[in-house]
Amino acid sequence: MRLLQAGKSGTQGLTPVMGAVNAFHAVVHRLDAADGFADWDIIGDLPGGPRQLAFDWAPYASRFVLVVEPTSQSMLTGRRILRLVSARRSTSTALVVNKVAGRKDVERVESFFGTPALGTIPASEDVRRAEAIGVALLDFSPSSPAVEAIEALVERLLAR
Amino acid sequence: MKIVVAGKGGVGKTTIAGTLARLLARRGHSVLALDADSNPMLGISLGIGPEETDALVAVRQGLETGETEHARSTEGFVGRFGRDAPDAVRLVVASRIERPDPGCPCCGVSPERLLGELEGAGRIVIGDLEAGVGTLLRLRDGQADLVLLVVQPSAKSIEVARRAIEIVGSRLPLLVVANRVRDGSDFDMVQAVADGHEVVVVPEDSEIERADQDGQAPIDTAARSPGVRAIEELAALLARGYALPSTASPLAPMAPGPAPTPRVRQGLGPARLH
Repeated sequence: MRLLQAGKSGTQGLTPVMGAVNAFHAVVHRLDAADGFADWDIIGDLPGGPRQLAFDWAPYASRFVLVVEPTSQSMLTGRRILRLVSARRSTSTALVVNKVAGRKDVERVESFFGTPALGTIPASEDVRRAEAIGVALLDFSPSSPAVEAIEALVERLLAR
Repeated sequence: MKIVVAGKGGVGKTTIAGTLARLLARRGHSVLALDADSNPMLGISLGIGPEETDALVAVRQGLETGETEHARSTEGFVGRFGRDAPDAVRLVVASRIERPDPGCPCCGVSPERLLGELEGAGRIVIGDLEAGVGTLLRLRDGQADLVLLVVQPSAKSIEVARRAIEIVGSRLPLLVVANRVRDGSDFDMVQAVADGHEVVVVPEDSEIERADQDGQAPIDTAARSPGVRAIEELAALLARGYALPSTASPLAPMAPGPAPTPRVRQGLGPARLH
């Protein structure tokens, strides 16, 4: 696995990293056509909210995975993102409900978006603890229900 | 007085900003709540509901549309594009991203420009900033008097807080709000990054979570919950003119309040996947 990360701004603002940011933008816009990555799976982790989508920071994406929590803020954000995705290009979108406490949570989100979720990730104390100490969930608790749910999601994504 | 609320996304920044705005208004202050996030959600935490929040016209987009002759001053924008929220808080949205290639969100009518031009004397302006450190980086003199940095006990939030504190440096007073704190180790984790700044604790609160889930303001549904009462204490500290205690007193035991008054759920309209 290779990790590519855009530059982080420091106390001097974006100026010192603008070169890196511009390069990153150029890279993501060429990924789709790069022969060297033809047989790679590329996963882009976008910042929360609609900003990066509006500025087309994921042109390589053949599928958007919309991760939504069962809260009003998250669902509203998801709706705004969907508007942008559909305005930008005809890319399929898969709905994933995260931090699920019960079936009602899933039904609420599915009802709001009018489609069944491709995956549901249970609320998990393991996830909270892993994030607290900054360790990957897969390393911290490889057999947790959240990991199992993400594994199932991977299978469904690959099967589509 | 101009207060900006900053922090990593998802740490409860907007919930604290909205609740604080209403609590300060209840104490008799004139409060203007500026939603400075391009994904504006402050209306929900203020209690106007998800759909009303989604329908608000942002100043920037309102000016671009130009359907009517607009106000000629920043204060006029507040009147023209703002909306009254409960407890007489005035809410105005700076800018929202709702279409592809929306133009640079930090140029033109930017959140920091509005913060700079809005009158801070005689009232409290609370700016709910976009997640991360971008707006903090662009803040100039006169655009804020105090930074409330909301931090939750997670490695990612702590990292953003560390950078935010470095960016603010000694330019502005900064108060750390340790949110969703469960125990002493959570508090220690946040205090370790606070770099000597005062730390106010807001405990983890399932009633606030429930209000967030339902799209309601915690102050309306869980006014006596530990989290809202902690924000009330924060409001009291601010109202006393930064007379903050020399040492934080985290995790003071709080008696549970009475059960919240049942409210009608505010539903959200449909959305469709494409």
